[in-house]
Amino acid sequence: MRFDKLSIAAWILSLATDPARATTTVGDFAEDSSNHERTWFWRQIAHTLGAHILHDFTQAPIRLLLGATAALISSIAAYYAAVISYTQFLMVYLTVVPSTSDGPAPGEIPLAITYIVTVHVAFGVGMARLSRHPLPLWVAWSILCTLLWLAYSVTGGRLATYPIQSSLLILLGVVWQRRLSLKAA
Amino acid sequence: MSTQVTLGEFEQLVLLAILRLGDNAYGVTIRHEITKRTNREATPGALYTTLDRLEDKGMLRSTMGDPTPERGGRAKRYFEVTGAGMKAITQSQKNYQQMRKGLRLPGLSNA
Repeated sequence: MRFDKLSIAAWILSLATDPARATTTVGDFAEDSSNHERTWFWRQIAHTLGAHILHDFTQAPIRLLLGATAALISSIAAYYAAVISYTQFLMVYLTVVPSTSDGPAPGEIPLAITYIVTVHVAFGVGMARLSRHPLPLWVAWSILCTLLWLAYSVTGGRLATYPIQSSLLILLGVVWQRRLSLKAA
Repeated sequence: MSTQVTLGEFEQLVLLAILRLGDNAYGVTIRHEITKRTNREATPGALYTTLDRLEDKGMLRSTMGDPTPERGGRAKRYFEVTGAGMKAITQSQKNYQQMRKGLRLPGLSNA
């Protein structure tokens, strides 16, 4: 896949609509852009992306809310699955000495971060594969996380702060999956 | 009262533009047709979400054309109105006509 202007635009649009529809829409803008000024093409991409996200919010708000709730619960489960599998199995397998009161063992933090980042990116890929339009779902999920974080910030609940921290990693997985599906289209 | 599929104003404009364009109805021509006939700029964001919605409702059918160089090798997506779409637009236009009957609107003939 070449990283030219049209491929990048199709990739961006495919986050909020079907990949086949995204490529034909970008083709329409490319055909029409010769009659307009230079920024016209990207303004139309931004406008169309916003319209697709808004469309999903207004057309099926309950479905989007349920999807975002399911994604939130799954992401928390994925986080704890990552932590448990790391501390119970991976650390033992790689013979990493667990952290002590003096601080973490050498190599422990980078390994833990790499492992948990991988789990979150994989979660984002899974979310994008299951959802027809992953970006509106991600936006709804992020709003839900923010509300949860605001509600729990007084008590300092860990459950609430975790999803907000991981949302960008999950978005990275979503973007990566769409790149692959666009390549296949 | 029978259950009817209701169409918004912009949905009707899109369906009528596709009917007018016949075999050459795709994003660019639909947008230009609406702008030319209504003197109103159809924003792409509104147009593409409307096309997707009408296709998802079964009122439009789309087929892929051949890729062309001026489109960066991207195919055109041609649209045609289905039977359900034709029924819905006919009903919507009938409703307008019924509402207009007997009214004198400035600049319009009393059809």
